[in-house]
Amino acid sequence: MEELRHLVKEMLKKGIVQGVLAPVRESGNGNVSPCFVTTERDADRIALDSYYPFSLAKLVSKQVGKDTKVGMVGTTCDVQALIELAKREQVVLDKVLVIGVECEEEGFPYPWCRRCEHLVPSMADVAFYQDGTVSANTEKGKELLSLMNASAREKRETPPEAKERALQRQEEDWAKLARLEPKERLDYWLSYFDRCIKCYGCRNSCPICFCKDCYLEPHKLIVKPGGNPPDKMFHLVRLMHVGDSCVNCGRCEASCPMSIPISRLYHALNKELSALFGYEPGLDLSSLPPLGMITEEDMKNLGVELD
Amino acid sequence: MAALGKLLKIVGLEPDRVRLEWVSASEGVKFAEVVKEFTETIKSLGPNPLKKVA
Amino acid sequence: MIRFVPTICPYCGVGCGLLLVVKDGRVVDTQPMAGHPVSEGKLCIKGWNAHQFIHHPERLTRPLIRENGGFRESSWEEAIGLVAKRLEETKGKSGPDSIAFLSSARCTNEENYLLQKLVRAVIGTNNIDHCARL
Repeated sequence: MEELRHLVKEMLKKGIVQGVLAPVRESGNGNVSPCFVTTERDADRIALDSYYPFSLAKLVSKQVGKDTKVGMVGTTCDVQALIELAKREQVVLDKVLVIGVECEEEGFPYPWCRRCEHLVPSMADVAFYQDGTVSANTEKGKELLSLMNASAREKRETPPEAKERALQRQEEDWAKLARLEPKERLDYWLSYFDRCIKCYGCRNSCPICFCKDCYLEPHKLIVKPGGNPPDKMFHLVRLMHVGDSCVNCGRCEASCPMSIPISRLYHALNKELSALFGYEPGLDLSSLPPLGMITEEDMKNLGVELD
Repeated sequence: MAALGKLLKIVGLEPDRVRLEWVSASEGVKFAEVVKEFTETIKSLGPNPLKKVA
Repeated sequence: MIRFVPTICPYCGVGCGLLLVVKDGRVVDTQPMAGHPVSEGKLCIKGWNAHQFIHHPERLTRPLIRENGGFRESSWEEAIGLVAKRLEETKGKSGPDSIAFLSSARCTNEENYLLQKLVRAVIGTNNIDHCARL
């Protein structure tokens, strides 16, 4: 962590970026909150030892001007989210220096973290690993690391054994649902959706949800104004819109006041769609999301089996 | 449509409730047949489970 | 320059913690406050939109006095002076209990305390209530 803070301080000192969006620990109450780091004091507060329930990728896309050069420090899922936003032209990746931090396997006590198979932020410009080493994964990253006198290692990927274990935990998480009859499964989800108080927290915190003119707003008539719970289509429409690109960051579930296991559903569909379209979100900028950015022609050429 | 099918299956809705057909305005006979068939399918599946008040 | 300013939601009595996202001096967004003992990083729809009224084009910025079936802008001095005068007149003509006061959960505890002090000690009536009781 000290190395990371040192890198951020160097970035600020040399004026390479206007600031660095990072999670910081508050001195007063020990909570983690977002910060646009511009001072050494703020850099010293950068902390990635707990899950942060906000998306810095989303903050970059919403609040940072497309001409402003900034840095972003984040866990792998947040970096994946940034890549997805870049694909949708909500972020200019050239203007963001991305510093990813490897997650400890099952490091955070949340179901989505347990299911996660992407521990290593191989898609970031610079990656800091659990063992204290660092790698430059892109040209931008190499330039950035030359600011520090750290010796960079080779770029790494998430170890296959760790990925296997994650896939195993995914199966465990979804096993009970998979065994149910469709009607029982539907009951499971509908009874959870019945708790919904339409706070829009899931939509607001999801980094993939970027639409200014969102289809879940009452004027679109899918979700009628007034009255709770909202039509079940609220969750299913959002599922259809983001399902192919859900990076299992869990911000939706973390912000749900009614503890609806949203990411359990969204991540599950994402895995199905991944298998169907051969698409994994958040890893490769050149691979476009199947729902909405790729034509059936493209898919036939890629050899995707559509029934 | 393939994606929608996966979504319906995962949530527990019968994929047969959704059907995509391309019918031109001049294919009157085909239109009638498609609608008749689909009505039967839906009738046998029963009312829309999303409409029930839990 | 982006700042995240911690504060408490002004709407209901729960008092959820939230962060106001301030960009170049304007409040542009709201984020939940992670780890808040009451709200635990979650917000209701009012909390998520707590920032909306701040720079809203329709936000009142000056007192308005009802005149000739409409409203006209006035100053704080004129408006407060008018209210004081009319309260005094009404109290004199019809007695203190002919006036009632309605306060709000959106006011601070201190503001509510001051109002009830004004109502009970200065006006001399117990006719004070609060929007949360409705």
